[in-house]
Amino acid sequence: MGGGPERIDTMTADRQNNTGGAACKHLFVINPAAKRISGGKARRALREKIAAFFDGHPDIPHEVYESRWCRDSVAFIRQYVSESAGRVRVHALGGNGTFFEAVNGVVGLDNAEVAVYTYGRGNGFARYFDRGGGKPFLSLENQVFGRTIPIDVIRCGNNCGASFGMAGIEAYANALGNEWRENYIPTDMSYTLAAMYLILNGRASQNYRINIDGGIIEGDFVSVLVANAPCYGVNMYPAIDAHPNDGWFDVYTFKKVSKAGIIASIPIYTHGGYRKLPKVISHYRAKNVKLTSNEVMCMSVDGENFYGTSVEYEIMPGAVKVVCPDSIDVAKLPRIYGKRDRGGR
Amino acid sequence: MKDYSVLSEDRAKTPARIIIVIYAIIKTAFYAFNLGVKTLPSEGAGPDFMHWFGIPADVIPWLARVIVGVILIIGVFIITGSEKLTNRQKSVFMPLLLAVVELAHASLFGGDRLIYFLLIGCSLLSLMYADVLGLFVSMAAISAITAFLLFVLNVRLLWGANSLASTEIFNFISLIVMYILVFMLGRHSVNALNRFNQAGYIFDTLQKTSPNLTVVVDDRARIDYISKAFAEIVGVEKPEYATGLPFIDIFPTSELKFFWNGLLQCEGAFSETFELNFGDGARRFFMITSEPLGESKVARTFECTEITYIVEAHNAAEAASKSKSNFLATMSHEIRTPMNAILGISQIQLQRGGLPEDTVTAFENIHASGGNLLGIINDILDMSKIETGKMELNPVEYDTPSLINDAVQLNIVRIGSKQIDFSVDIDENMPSKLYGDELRIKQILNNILSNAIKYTKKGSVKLSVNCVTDSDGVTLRFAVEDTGQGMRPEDKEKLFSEYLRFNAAANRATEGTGLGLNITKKLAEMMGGTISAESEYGKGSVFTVTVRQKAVECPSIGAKVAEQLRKFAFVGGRQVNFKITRERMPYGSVLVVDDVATNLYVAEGLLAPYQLTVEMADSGFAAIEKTEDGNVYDIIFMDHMMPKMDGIETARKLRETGYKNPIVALTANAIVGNDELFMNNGFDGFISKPIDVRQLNEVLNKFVRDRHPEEAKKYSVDTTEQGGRSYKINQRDGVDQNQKAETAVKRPKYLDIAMNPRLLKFFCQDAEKAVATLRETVKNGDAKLFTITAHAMKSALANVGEDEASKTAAALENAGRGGDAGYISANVDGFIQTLESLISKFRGADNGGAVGADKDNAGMDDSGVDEDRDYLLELLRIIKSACDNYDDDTAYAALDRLKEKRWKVSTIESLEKIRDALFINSDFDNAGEMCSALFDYVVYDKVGSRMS
Repeated sequence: MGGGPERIDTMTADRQNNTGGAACKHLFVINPAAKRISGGKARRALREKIAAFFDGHPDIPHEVYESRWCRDSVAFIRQYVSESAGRVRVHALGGNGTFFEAVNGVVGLDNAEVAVYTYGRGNGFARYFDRGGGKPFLSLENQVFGRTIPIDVIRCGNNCGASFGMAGIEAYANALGNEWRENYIPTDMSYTLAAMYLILNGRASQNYRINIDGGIIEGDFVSVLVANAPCYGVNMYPAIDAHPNDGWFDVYTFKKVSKAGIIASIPIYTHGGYRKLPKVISHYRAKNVKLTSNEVMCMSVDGENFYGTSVEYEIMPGAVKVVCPDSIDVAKLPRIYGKRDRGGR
Repeated sequence: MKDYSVLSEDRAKTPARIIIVIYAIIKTAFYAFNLGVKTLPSEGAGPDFMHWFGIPADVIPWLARVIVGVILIIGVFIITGSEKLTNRQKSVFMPLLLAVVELAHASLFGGDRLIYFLLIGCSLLSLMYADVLGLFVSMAAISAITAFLLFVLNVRLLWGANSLASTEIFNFISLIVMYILVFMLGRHSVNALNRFNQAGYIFDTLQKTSPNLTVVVDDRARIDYISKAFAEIVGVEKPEYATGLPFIDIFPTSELKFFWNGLLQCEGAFSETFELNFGDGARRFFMITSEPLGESKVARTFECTEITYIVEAHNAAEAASKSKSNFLATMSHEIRTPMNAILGISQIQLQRGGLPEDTVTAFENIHASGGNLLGIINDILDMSKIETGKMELNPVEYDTPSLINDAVQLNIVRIGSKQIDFSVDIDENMPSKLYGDELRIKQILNNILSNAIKYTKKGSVKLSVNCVTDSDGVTLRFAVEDTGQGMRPEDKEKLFSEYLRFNAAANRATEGTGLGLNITKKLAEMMGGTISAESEYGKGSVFTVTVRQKAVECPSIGAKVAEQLRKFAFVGGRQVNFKITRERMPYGSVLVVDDVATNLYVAEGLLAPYQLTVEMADSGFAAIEKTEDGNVYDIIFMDHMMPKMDGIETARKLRETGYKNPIVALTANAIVGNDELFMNNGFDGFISKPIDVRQLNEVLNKFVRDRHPEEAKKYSVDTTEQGGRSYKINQRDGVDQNQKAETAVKRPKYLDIAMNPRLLKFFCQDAEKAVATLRETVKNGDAKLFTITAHAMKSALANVGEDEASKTAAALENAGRGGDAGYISANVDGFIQTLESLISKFRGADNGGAVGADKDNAGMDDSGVDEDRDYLLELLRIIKSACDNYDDDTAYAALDRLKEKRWKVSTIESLEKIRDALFINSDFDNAGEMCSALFDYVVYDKVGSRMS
């Protein structure tokens, strides 16, 4: 590790409040595949709720768009925002995938901001603000009139993410778990089983060359997590130091250990206990991370898998504005995971 | 039987191993269980040698079962793991191994009825390798081994069945029947699977080598399949890395994401060409073909074929075409400028009369050749317009019989001395009026008629005209049938190609550019029609043209008019609309701006009949100076190409100074698009050179007469009182591109006949200026002005017949354009000397009087001339008819034919007067009257001669 980047334990946060969305156009993007609104009845109810809300605010322009297929809304959002003269608040009504599409739709456009809703399975990004299930994010009042904060964005190849980029067992388990859930095991248990299968099958680790802001680390790793936000999955929060508006990535490298070691370490790691595993997991802060491997790597950005033998993650500080509901105390955000878990275990 | 199974990898390895391991364990467990309950038959307790090892009898079957299981597992692992065996061999060996081991076990220890099911199951292992032959061989081998055991070695496979051979026979027959059924069913499944494998293999192989970009998107817009080429172009390392990804995610730019997302929204199949940039900055064109998959609204295939090279070739061809058009524009200017002088001067000389006969002939030849050349230029320009899509149709209501008559009369003249029987067949039910582009229809008709006459030396040419009326309009049909040389089939195929003249070797002496039929085809197509040709080599051809015209409410032409047309005696249908009256406009003033004195001179002559106040300026600067002095003109006629400041710049500056009166461009660049150029640069109109008198008349009427209504009214009365300068133009003028030469012939008829001294004077002025400019530009290195001056001198020298000097000027112009200072310094002094010597030469000639001398025919003795009066009368009849129809071409042609014979001086004078009446004043009425008078005189004289 001698030539590697410096490990840091401190974090910085810079909060910027913004005005609400009363003067915006509001574009509601509904993802019909999102878990909590996948039924036609739920979506109809949601549309009625939106319509009723704007009946009470007839002076606020709004539009509802239901995405038709994967990434369909990216193009629509981008075109809609580009053609709008004023500010547009894009409401991503779905889960992480919908938020991912909204981020890709607005990134680089100054007159757009995103409101994230928690209609999905995990809603990892929203859990940064609220550990209790994301109810503040379901309030139209909050989302329409709430202030925005700028967040950093992860640029990775052709796409941008907001929460994390990863390679290794987490990404493999995500890919395999998705496949199993679709075909064999229609529950979230599929991800855990997939992870177990990979570990037992000896496919949990891989040789990587990791370039963290110019410092090179090379070796066999179980996972490399490049985090902009702390949470992923349904209830996991491995990157407790990551804050989406600090201008930094938090990078966690999980070294290869025995199968038993992996099985024992994973629950600790995925619940913010990396400091309890100093010999296994290392933490870095960086703005640019490059990963290469001689074998194909399974990778993921915000839960969207892709494959290759090299990848570069680059931070785009404050590239997108997201709505932070008024009920959330922004000042307390940096420690909501760190406080509890650091001292807890 | 093809072994398609080898196309796929050994995918049976793991399942086969799992199956055999599970089988061995279950079977062993079954035996272990049965050991406890002691149901095993005593006969099946094993062979005697087992007891030699002191193994307890009740353990032997269990032990044997374990050994069999181990053998099977080891055997299957070896067979499936072997790299030396083919899939087909594995498909035979694996079931055989299982069958042989189990049969041996049953033979030694006795088996149950399941042994026969097991044998069937063994053969099914062949299916794991999807090989029909393997299945057949394994079944046959298992059947043979079983039969050998049962019927040769007399072994009983079933417990307690030693005495029941019939049971074994029944089971064996059942086995064979089952094998047949399994084979029949398995064969279909295996073949289907193999076809699938084969298709997949071929598809994979093709895609690996295909440059086409292929992607298959599933109903969630994720990638089901992506070809190597597609993966590479979007930067995905390997196709398999992209499988399953959201389709839109693989594209590197937002533009591409939008584009492909847009294509996902398309309904149904499509195939279109798009320009795409895959992030590498390269401009590429793709033909994208897409087919939806099943009922899904999203799932579809995309096949992208790069056609950049085709598009580039197309663009290059277009660029070449544009370049050609530019060349044509230049050529047009270069040829039309001297053409203005050639046609004008030759006509003026012909008007003078009294020239020596050989000089007249020379001028006539010059004039006719100039006309032909102008016709060719017009053809080329038409082609240019068609190619650039700027040819527009100008529909008007027109008189059908007149159109046909004009074309017929024109082409009769072309027959000349050829022995051609020309006939016309007109459908009397044709409408007397139609709505369409009359000019272009005449052009079509003239092209096919003139071709027929051109390529027919002797025989007949027949024009048939009819039409079919329907609810949408009228289809006009012309058919021209000739008995000329006809065409070979291979020539016919190339008939409508550009610049192609068929049987070129044989027709070397025939005039033409080869553009006529191509233009005709394009024009017919523009009018919603067709052209077709039937031909037999050596016998003749039939060209049929159809064009769509709009119907007009009118009667049909009727039998009488049809008959007149058939007899070439059509006289009606002329309209006063075609009459051009040159009104006097002494209240008007115009300024003509041109750097070439000759052009100023011609323009002055053309304007003279209008009695306008005409001022001249030899440059843009002079023109601006004149307006700055406070002069305002009704029109400024502005030449386009002038040195230092061209016409466009001059017009712009004039507009900047606040000059608001009309400015009309005069240019020899009659290429498409120039009208827009002028209109966008402050001009109010555009007249092409050689100047078309009708255009000039229209411009003067519009900008001078119509803006002075009071004065115009006054002088309009004057015109009538003074007999006016009423001037009728045949419909064909300006209509038929082939006839523009004749239009040009008429233009300079008002010029002062003492032109040559003035021309020389103007040349001397131009040349003196040029000498000074050339010296100055060589000294100060002003290449642009040098080039323009050389260019001006090139045409000026050509105008005065100094061809060699003109060529030198052209060479210097080219050297100026190309920056060839060496050539300029080596030749410019010599050129200046040439100009200076010409100046002194022409000054002397000018002082000495006009070039040439009139020859007085008076007093010539013509008593010995024996006139061919019949011939004279026949041609006078033609001339009279032509005059009645305002058809000067026919009249000129007849007058020319009369020159072929000798006539008395009085007859010559009368004919010259007729020619002058036509030539100078276009006074068809007077010419016709003179013709009638001469006709009467000849008839009287003829009768008188006979009487005497």
